[in-house]
Amino acid sequence: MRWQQLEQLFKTNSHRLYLVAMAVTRHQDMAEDAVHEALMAMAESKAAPDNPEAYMYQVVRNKALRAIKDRKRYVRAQPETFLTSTSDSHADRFFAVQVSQKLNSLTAEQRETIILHIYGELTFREIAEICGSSPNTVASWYRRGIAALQKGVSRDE
Amino acid sequence: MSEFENQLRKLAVIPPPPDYESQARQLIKPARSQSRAPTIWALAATLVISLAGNVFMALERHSDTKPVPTEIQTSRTVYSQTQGMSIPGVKDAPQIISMEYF
Repeated sequence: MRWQQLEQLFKTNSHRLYLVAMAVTRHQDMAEDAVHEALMAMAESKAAPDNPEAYMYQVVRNKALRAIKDRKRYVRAQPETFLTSTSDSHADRFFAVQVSQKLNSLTAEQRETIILHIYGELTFREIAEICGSSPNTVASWYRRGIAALQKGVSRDE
Repeated sequence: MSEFENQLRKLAVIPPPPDYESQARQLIKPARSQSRAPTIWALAATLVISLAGNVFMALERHSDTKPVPTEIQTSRTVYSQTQGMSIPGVKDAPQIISMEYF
């Protein structure tokens, strides 16, 4: 892929790409490495995908999946807390920790969908393209994930 | 959108490390130059080999034009013409010019 095109794509999608990797790995260092590896792979690739943006997300997700698969062979790493409260109130911070922990108990698909839809502001169609699934299936993952998350998290504590 | 989803939206994902983007840009640049490097090196190597070949051929041609040392051979002694020695006492001795190197 051309250098300028890749740089431009990364510039406009850097945060979301990180989010995709983070949703899969739940580790900052692994997510960062996954994005970097994906960029290098794309820079060296001679393929010209029809939709470079969607392709970029897919490559990042694949690299993230590979990273956790490789890491599980050696260490059983605990997922990191990756959500934070935007306010300083104790209740909000506690809520962020609870949501982070509960997200880890969801299925990988449910967790990815929730993170990408809520925090990455990606549509179900876009998420479906990244995950190689249908928008209806993704919507179903989202609904079930939200329901499971709501059961396990209390906002009043 | 439910109230719970709104609450979720108020949270934020912990941002990536500060050098995340700068490192990514640095990684793409070397990848680009690496992908072109083999072509550049192959071209450079071809040029050097070609030049070396030309120089070698020129030297070969040059050495062919150098005067071949000749010897004057008499029946008893071989004198080198380049030494500027005369053949003592034999003015009309037959002179055989050898083209061989010793």
